[in-house]
Amino acid sequence: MRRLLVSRAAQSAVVIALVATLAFVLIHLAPGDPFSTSLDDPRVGSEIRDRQRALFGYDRPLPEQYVRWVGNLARGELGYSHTLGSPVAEVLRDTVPHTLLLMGTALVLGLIGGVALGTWQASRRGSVAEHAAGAAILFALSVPEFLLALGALALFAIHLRWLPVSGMVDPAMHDSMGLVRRVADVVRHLALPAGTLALVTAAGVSRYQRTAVLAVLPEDFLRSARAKGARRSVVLVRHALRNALGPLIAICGLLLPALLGGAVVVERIFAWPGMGRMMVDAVGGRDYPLVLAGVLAGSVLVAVGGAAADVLASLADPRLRNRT
Amino acid sequence: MRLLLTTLQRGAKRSLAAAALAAAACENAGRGGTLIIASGQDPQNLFPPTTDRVVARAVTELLFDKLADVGPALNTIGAAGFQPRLARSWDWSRDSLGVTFHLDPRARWQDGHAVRAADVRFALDVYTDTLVGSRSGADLRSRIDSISVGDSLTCTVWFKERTPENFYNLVNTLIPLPVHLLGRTPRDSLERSDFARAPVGNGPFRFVRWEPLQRVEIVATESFYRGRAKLDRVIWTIAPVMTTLVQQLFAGEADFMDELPPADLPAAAGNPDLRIVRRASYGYGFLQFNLHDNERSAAHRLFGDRELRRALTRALDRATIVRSVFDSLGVVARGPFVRAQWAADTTVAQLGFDRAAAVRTLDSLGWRVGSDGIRSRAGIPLEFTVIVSTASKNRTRLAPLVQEQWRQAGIRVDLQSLDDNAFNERRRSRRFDALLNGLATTPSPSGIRQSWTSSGAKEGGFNAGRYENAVFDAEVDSGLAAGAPRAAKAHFRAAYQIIADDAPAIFLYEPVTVAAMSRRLETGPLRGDAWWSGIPAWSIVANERRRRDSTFSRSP
Repeated sequence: MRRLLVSRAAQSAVVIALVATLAFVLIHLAPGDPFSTSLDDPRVGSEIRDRQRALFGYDRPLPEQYVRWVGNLARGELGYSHTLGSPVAEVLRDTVPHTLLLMGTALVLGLIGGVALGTWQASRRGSVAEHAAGAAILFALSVPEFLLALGALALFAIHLRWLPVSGMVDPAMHDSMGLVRRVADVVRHLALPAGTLALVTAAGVSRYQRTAVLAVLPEDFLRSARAKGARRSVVLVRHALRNALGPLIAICGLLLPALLGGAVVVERIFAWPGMGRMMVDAVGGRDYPLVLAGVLAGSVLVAVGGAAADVLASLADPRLRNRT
Repeated sequence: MRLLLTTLQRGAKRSLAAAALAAAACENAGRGGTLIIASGQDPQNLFPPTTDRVVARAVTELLFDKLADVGPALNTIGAAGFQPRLARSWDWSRDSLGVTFHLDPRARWQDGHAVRAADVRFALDVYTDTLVGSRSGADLRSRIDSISVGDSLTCTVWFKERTPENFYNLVNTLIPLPVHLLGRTPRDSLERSDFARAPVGNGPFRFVRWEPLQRVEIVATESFYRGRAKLDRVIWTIAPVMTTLVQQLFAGEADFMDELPPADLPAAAGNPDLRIVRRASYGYGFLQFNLHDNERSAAHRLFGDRELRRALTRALDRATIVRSVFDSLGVVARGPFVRAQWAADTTVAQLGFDRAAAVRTLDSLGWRVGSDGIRSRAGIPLEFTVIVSTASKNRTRLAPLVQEQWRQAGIRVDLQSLDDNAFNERRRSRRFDALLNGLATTPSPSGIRQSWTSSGAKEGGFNAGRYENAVFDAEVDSGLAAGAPRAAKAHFRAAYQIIADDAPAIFLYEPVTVAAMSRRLETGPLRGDAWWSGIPAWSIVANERRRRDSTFSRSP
């Protein structure tokens, strides 16, 4: 197990370093810089822009900027966000937990829903209900996330007015609420964005789960359980489901990048103050320090998630340990 | 007898108490409530010299008082109509090169310190220090020589030369800053200081919080020297997607949106909870020709020819284009100005739409129609590229209409939609044939100098097409220097006519801006250049208040 952990950590470190370097080069090659838009004003002379660029070292050759950035990173200095007017570390401290809350909720809901749906579909294979569920899942997978998000917004926030349109808290009331109501306030605001992401996640997971359960159902040990008189639900949940979970754990690692990508869209539509939304704004404003810190945080998140999934999968299936 | 006396005394006390309560009620009538404004952007920073986004200007101008404010007439010449703010009064020196401000002794910074003349002088130091990177620093440096402090409440601003808009430019730009809080902060880190994120102002509202990507909150200053604002607090909720902002308004989660997208206008107009208000617009859009070829350092192969530019202008039916894109929410621009400016002149003769005349001119210039329907001269087709930024929906929609109308005259246009950064890079480096762009202006026409005269044609300037005409420059300079409005207008009219005739750009549209707001909100007229300026006098209708209007704990 230690070997597995060390190996995964080394792989992750290399991948993160490569991703960060690539992001550094690409964002600097893109037209513009942090001051080309923010100081794009007829009243601002080029000397002001040049001075600001020099102040942050953006006038230096790219390799020098890269070395300086790596050095600062090693000292834990992430720089200053030009678009949000705050130290990057503070921005990440504020936004990363919000994204983790959104993704975590969506992942849990998506997994529970997807596993339940996939297992149920496998148990009802060939029925009309199973076909209907399959069509609904295909629909959920086919519709772009932004359309699902806008549909949910229109139905639950505008038409029914059950849930708030956007944000993470009620901007006017939240601070005057007690703890329980504050939590409830966040949950109400979380419902639509997390629900949208969870729906897409559940749809994807259910397809894997259905296939995995169908693969397990003809196994001898399940036939034996049925022959011993175990109830169908017991056979399905206690025996089939447990044995079909192995592949699903590995898929969880793949779900993280997809969820992070989905969060970019969903966070923007529901104005959820997370990393995805921050990154889009940062890229548009060529906010180099924030973009790079965001890429790093995202790649760490995905790498750690992937490694954790590998470790869990190997714990669940000892055969995998011997392959690494 | 004693009983009677006691009873009378009690009665008198009750009457007095009732009268005091009634007086307080009268004074507090209309007070209270929370205004929620839907905003598409974070402020970036809240340090007045370096703010540029609308939301940042709105917040800072409610947190900080100016010396004086332009009146409702938006007159920018002289000091007539300006309303006292931090300065209770002002008087001019005999030579009109100095203006002495007498500060209101009641004015306080929100940490309790009195506002002093030294704060005004300090502000000028900060604004004009290139280390600070103020957007208006260069303009102030070019206009103001110095500020001398008389006593703690008196300071005199000395201008370098007499110009009619000196007073407007000074008070509209320079916001006094607290020297006791910022005097020791290094200038190059002021924009990144704690103050820039949580400022201490002297205005009708004080800062509470700015949570990036979420909200900005300010509350009324209870002891504000010019009288407390009617609203208890103002909150900007920040959402990056226009659809979300509009839905916040429709769902009642927000009370105000300063610029409603035209597509949402019918729904807003039909919503019984909302009302829509037109406000003056200070922006215009244009198609600009590049008159010079960057690579060859010579006149542009096409647009160096004045007659060709004029023919291209005549080949465009601007009225139809504007109607197609804006419906009733836009008008055809008449020049490098907006109708709301005092120097505007809509009677300037235009190169109106006349495709037949355009075709005749093109023929006479040797551009003949080929078998493919495209004109060419000496084997070179009449084709060029127009770049447009994807950041502007209006211009992105407008571009194909321009392309089609020119195609009908035998001109081939390649449209290139660029990310805003790429667009600005191309514009600044002058690597384009023609571009579709827009400019935001102010009540003052002075912005024309940077955007259209020779001084803006230099490297890094905003006159990206490098239009240079000495007579035009002279008329603009004369207009800006003229003391009397009538004379100034005459010079501007002459300048506008010259640029209309030279056609270095085709002035396409002026959008009409529509704000949408909850009916529970009572506002006065919205100032075109700064809709937020009246917020201290806005109120929430008493019987329309919601829980969020009373959920607010006052503090000093």
